[in-house]
Amino acid sequence: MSQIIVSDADPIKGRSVLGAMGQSLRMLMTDNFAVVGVSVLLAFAVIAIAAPWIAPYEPFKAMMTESGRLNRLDPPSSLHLLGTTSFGNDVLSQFLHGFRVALLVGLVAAIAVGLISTIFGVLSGYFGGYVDDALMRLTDIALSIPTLPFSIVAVALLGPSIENIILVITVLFWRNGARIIRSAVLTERERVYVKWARAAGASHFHIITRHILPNIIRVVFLWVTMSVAFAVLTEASLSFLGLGDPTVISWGQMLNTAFSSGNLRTAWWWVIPPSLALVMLVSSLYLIGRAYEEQTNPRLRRR
Amino acid sequence: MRAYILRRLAQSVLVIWAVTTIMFFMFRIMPADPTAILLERGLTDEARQALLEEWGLTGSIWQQYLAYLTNLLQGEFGSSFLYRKPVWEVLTPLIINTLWIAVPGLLLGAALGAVIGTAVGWARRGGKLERSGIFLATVIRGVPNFVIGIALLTIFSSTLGWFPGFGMGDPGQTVGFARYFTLDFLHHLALPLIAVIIYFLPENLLLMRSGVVENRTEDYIELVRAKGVPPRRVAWHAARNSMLPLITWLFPALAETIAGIVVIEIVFSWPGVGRELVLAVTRQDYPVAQAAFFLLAVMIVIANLAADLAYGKLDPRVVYK
Amino acid sequence: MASLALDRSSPRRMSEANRHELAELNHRLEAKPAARLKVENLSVTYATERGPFYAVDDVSFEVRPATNLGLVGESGCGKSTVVKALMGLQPDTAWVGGQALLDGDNILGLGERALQQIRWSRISLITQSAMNSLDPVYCIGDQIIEAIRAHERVSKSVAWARAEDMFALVGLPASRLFEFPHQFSGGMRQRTVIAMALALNAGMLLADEPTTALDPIMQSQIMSRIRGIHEQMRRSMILVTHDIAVVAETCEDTVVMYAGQVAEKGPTNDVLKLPLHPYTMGLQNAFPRLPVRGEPRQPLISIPGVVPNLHTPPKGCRFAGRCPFATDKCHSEPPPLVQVGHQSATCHYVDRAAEFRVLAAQPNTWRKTKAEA
Repeated sequence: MSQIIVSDADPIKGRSVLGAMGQSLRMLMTDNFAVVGVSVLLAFAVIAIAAPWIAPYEPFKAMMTESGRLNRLDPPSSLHLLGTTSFGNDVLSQFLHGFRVALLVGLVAAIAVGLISTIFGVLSGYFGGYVDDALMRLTDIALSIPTLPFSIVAVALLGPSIENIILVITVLFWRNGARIIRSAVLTERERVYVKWARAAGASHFHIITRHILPNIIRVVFLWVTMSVAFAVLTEASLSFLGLGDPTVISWGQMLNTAFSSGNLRTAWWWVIPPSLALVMLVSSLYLIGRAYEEQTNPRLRRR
Repeated sequence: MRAYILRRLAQSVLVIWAVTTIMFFMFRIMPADPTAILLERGLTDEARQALLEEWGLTGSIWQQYLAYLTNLLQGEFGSSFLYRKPVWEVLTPLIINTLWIAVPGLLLGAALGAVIGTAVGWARRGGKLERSGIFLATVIRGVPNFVIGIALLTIFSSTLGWFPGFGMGDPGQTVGFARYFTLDFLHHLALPLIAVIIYFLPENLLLMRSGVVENRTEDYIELVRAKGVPPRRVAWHAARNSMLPLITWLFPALAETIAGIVVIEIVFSWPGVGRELVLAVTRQDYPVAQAAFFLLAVMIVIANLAADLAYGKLDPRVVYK
Repeated sequence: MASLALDRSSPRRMSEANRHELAELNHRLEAKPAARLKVENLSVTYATERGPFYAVDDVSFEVRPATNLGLVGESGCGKSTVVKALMGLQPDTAWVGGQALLDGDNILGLGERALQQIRWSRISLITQSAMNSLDPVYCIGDQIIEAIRAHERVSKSVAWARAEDMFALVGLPASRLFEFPHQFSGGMRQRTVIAMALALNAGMLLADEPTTALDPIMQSQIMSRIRGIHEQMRRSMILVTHDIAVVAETCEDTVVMYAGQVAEKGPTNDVLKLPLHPYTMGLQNAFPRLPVRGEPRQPLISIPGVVPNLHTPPKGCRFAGRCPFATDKCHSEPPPLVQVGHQSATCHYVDRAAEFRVLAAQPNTWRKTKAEA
């Protein structure tokens, strides 16, 4: 992916990473699809934070009918806006709590993956030589591991808990980003103002933080966005396969229960909300990622 | 060309070795004792020790590793804890089943995605086809594969009843190799295959589209137009040039789709390697799990190799360098 | 794609039927006469973010059959735009007005179908030899036969044979048809695009700066080849260049363009020896001439200033800002096209051309000009 990123900053002093982030976000807002994506994300975040307060019931509490029996597979009613599951749990409450897991996994994974990828990519691209060779060998080996099968085995071996899932995601996903960020760093390193800064006696740290990082921020953002999407998908897939954390309610797990109880056809109120939420969340992230891609690749711009 | 092939082959072998090594060490860190499942069935200590030796679970870690590798090279995966049969016996029939949805699914997904992607890339910038094409492809790309499976299942199987939603064939049908060529088989194959295609298609579409968009403003495209060549063929020139970056960027999606077949097999109860992996893992049948994981990794490596070779064939510059 | 089902070991071995077909094809193609092109009031306006851009304004000229017409001017004067418009290759954002009569048929504003028919078979294009002009993933032979088979129903081997003949015409060995563009040098690529342009013996050839990307030695080789082809095949040609020397050697007629308009046109001899338009006079000065023993060295004089902004073209003469002889009339009234003999120029003071010529040869004249930015 070729990039032409113009630095409008002082060639020696460079600019701050935060400033670059802000500029990048501002540019993002010019793309209609990206705005939609960001709005959806924000809405999801709000719901996730508010979930424990707005959920009408406890997600795992078995609901009883008036006659004292388990209220199973009840279609939506005024009492249960999204009906109940085959275990008598309120679907809406489960659904709302699912937001928390999705965003927690997404956020933590994104930060962890983003940090590791960036560190690897910057070290590898900037210093080159043996460091580059070693790190890239490591990355290539990591890249050859198939994601889902590995996660399945790892989570099964380590035990299904949310921490393990996040750990596995982190261990797996930094590898793609490392290469992408590395090539962006390689391009930046060759820029004239970097050479000037070196000639002026700037330290490696200064150059990295004030010249390289701000200019690759768009690539990093793109990568982080995609990582969140991958993380959410992986967690959902693992939960769907029954390897999710049983103490935590997530959308994938809801679908797993629905699927294995054999009620897919009838209990649409149980199946559609988590499916829809997953699609919306991941699509929003992809729309944002795509907007970044259009911006970092000038040849795709409207001519 | 030959040097190119050999290089790629060597790399693939290296990758498989790396994956198996990682797998080996991963399985050794498991908290549970694999023989616990057997102890329940009342084995004596000596019998247990003999079994441990047979499965290469004794000796230092390096001895075990060596044994493991030699076994692997001989195609010896050990015996299934659960089925009490050699792992090979358990998995071999399943490999073909998985290939039946993997190979046509990947090929069709790639071909359809490339064709539609070219059309969208050639369309008027900012026009309806472009915007809707991009939007739909991005959204569908965001649908997890099990949701695709569930949706297909609910709509086409449960509600409309057009396709069966379970397994590979109705019970009591022909057995053996012949069963792959019955209508019943195709009937069962349809939905899982479509699920794989839908999962793989958007990535191809978007990659081909951006390639065509980049290439359509190139000088040589203008010259092709000037030659009085019909528009469809001009678009083909752009598409042909986009195939190379397409393949380059496609490798992650390729691996993800093959890995994702695990989930598709579960949703449709398709008796393949992926499904067996999940079942084995949950049932703690580690030899089978290990072997299934290995097979999936090999499939991905082979797919990558095929894509690499296609790349070499498509780009005259790579080979003649 | 890159593979043809041909017997590649001996390209000349063709079946009797194929030889017959080839002879018929050659006969058909060689029967095409040289074309006459009459461009009348051609205008091209681009729609841009900053408003309309008047790239080409009311350009008219005529290419007589079997002659070369040189289209000269500096960068941005619109000469390439004219060529693109003639091939129908202007971008979608461009509006094209006027007409261009190729043997009596207007080739502007045609639908895609009709355009396809005339392209390459009646009017073809020789582009610059840049790496990008040829599709990198197809071999040269395939690209040439693609042009042939888009218009003539012949088999691949017959088309390939014709491609071989074209290659022979430009002095390239037939075996190299199997190679890819990246394996060719710049000069070879240029000869390839020439061969390709001749493949259907189009009556009209448009050569868009064919030698700009080459070094001077290559340039003269290619130009002499083009001259040779001109003599041998008697096609009509428009040669677009910024190099007056090339035009002087090759073209019977010349059109000088400035800022999207025709400044001067006429037989090359007249235009270059006795220019009527101050711009042409300035252009001559800008080309160095080898010193003649005994005579004082000719100073290198350049025309100060830059081309006006074509988003808001000036009211009067477009050259007025840089012209050393400009008057108020020149700045306010657009000059008419005045004919003198076979020549014509858009200038108010054509009658004073002889006087201007003398002044233009002196460097002081140009230094005094205050050019508009």
